[in-house]
Amino acid sequence: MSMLQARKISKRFGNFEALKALDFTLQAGEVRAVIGSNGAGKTTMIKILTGAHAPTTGEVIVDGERLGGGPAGHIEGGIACIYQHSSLSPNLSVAENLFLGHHPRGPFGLIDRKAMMAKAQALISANATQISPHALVGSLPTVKQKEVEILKALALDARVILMDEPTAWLSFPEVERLHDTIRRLSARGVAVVYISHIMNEIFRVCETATILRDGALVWEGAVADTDRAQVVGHMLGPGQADTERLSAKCEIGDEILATKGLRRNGAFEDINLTLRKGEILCLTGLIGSKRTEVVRCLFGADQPDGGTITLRGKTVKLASPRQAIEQGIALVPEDRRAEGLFLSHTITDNVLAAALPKFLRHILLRKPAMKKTVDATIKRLNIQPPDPEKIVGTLSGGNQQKVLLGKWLETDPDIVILDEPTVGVDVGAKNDIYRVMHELKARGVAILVVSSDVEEVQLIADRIVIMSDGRIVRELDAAHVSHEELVAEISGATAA
Amino acid sequence: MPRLFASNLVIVLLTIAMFGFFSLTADRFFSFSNVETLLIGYSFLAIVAVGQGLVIMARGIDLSVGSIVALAAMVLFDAIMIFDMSGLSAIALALVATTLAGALNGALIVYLRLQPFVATLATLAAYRGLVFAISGRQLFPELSSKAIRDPHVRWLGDFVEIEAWFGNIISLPWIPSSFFVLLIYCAMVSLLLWRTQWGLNLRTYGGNPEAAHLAGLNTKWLLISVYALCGFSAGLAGVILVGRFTTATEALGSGMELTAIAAAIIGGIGLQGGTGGVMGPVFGAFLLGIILIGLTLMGTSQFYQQILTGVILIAAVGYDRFVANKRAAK
Repeated sequence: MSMLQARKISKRFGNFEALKALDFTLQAGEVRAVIGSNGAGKTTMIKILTGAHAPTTGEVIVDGERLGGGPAGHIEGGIACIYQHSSLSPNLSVAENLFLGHHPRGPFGLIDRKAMMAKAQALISANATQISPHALVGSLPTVKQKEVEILKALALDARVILMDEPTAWLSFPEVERLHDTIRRLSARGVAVVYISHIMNEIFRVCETATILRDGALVWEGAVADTDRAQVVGHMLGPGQADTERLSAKCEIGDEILATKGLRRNGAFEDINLTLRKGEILCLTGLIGSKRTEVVRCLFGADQPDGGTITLRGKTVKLASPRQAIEQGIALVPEDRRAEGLFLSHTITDNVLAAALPKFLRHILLRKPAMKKTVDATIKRLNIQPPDPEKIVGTLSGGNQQKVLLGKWLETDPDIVILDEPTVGVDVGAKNDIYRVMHELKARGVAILVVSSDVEEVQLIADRIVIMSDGRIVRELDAAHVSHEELVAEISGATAA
Repeated sequence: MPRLFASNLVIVLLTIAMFGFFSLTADRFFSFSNVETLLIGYSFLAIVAVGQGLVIMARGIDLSVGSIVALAAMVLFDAIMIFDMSGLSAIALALVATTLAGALNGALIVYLRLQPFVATLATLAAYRGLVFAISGRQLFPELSSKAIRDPHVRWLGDFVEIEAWFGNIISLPWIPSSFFVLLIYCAMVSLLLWRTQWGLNLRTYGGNPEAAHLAGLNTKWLLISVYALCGFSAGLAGVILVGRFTTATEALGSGMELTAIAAAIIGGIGLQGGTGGVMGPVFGAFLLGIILIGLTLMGTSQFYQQILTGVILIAAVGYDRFVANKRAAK
């Protein structure tokens, strides 16, 4: 019998189905990769397995016992999770962290520090690592902290350990160390769920893989039976050969933005890009290839450590987003809730936020002109419901994205940068967004899109630039590339 | 416990240095009577600061402590003067009342999800209003000029001649009872903080609230109990002040929250949570006392002293940020 069984688990958030009747089983000692792009349902799955979310339907069973009772119940049931962000207290010692909530007690119920240290040392020795139980967690290097988190899971007799992007902050030798630890866990019968987008690691340490897309299972099987290109193909979805490409119809004008040798330490280097008027350039690659970091520099939100940015033939220094906006650059960020929108304000407030000076007469705002503009924007972008006084936080993801787009269009930019513009957006809204991009393009606006969605890239791009690990690995003409070639390039990029 | 002082080394050295500085520069600073003034004037504040320190360790703040001090005093006054309760049971009643007042702060933060700053700003006003409402001095004006005579209450405001303990061989300053209360209270809170599950849970929560939640700790109860303990600390200080003044006034403890917060932060309670201890805020309180008494003896105006308290607080917070940034940069 399987050690862990998740039967037909699904999760709904309002109208959005994040996970659709997923079956997920694990054997003792199995190391399973869970793969999927943004919004595929990985996070929701983890949260259901750890008890942080209650599933809308379905159940989680460990060793024949149905789990319930929130996080505490699932920990009790033997499921532990190593989160991407540390769940240790940096101000406590290793031993204090290991037994969080169940420290050894002595007389009068006081904590028995001696027993605690001895137990911690025993646990550390049994797992062949070298950490002082007295050391403050905050003073340890990241990989040691990850090991402490694993030990903490073992101290709770965890039989299933979930690891969410465990190597995100680790260097290469540290990743190796972590993989050794995982192999030891597996040998002892602990099942590991390894959530990662780094293909190399998956093929090195995992035995089996589950691939999710749009909240549903698309492939499951032994890692040995597949290869990189196949995995990436499953992850990114099927191509649509007969999709009408939007880009073919427009004239492409002069170069407006170029970078030469752009570099930001610890993120990317040697980025040479050119962007022309009326062109859509897609920056693609797998998650973690540092595309967002590049566009943040182009928008003045971060400062590059080297290289130059040329705007309309002149070398510029963009010290802040304000300067970038003055130069006619607009950025629609990936995390629209955190970085782009005033969620508790109306559509009107959001759309006009960046363009208020346009509506000033002396020191007063011209309300009728504002209303006219907002109504036009709502109509043009097909924002639903078409109510200028609607609070943005209550709109669906797709409509929020349209509001954000509308906000930047009001500043009449020459260059629009869109970071993952259609993540978490429904099909109808996607088409509205593409249509607006096309209109902008026809007006001669240069558009730079960061996208991981191959289908989208093929649909909208004039040129495609593939990035991997902070470098440009390939530049392609979108008109002459097939879906298969593109997937192969992106997955090949990971192998490099 | 070595860690008790290791983390407090800076503040201990600073306290000694300041004491030395004023001993050399301020007339009559280095005298028995001045040490007595310092101990009686700041022991109760140190107790409030210890409670405030725990709350700040849990990433909160309690602005209502000054009002809670007055609440304790007024409950004690009413219990003895109006209801003729014995001193000990009246003290117990006052402490229970303030513990509940603290727990209510915690409940507002946990259940209504108010920001600690907002919740305790509201109760700062509400508890002060309550003090006026229940004031025996307002309800029965004839009581306002009467002093409390209960021996247990009076003992709290009195001095202990420790010379007698050493057979009167050497001459020593008289130590106020409140200082002994402070010592016992510190020992108990230290034990609670460093040796019990509750203390570890508190420090875990301060260091990483998400970790505490994911470990299945009962964080709601933890927060309510921290604010309750802070309320108890303020109550203890209020009871001590009644012993000293033999009466309770409605305005007692106004503005004390600022001094208590300053003492806790100067005492090394990190605003990012989880760090610090019990002795830090105590030294923080006495350091403030040494500086303010020293300046008074040097003839500096009261107003400049208030400005200086603000400056010291900003310096302490700045130092805290500096240390935290340095740690983050590592």
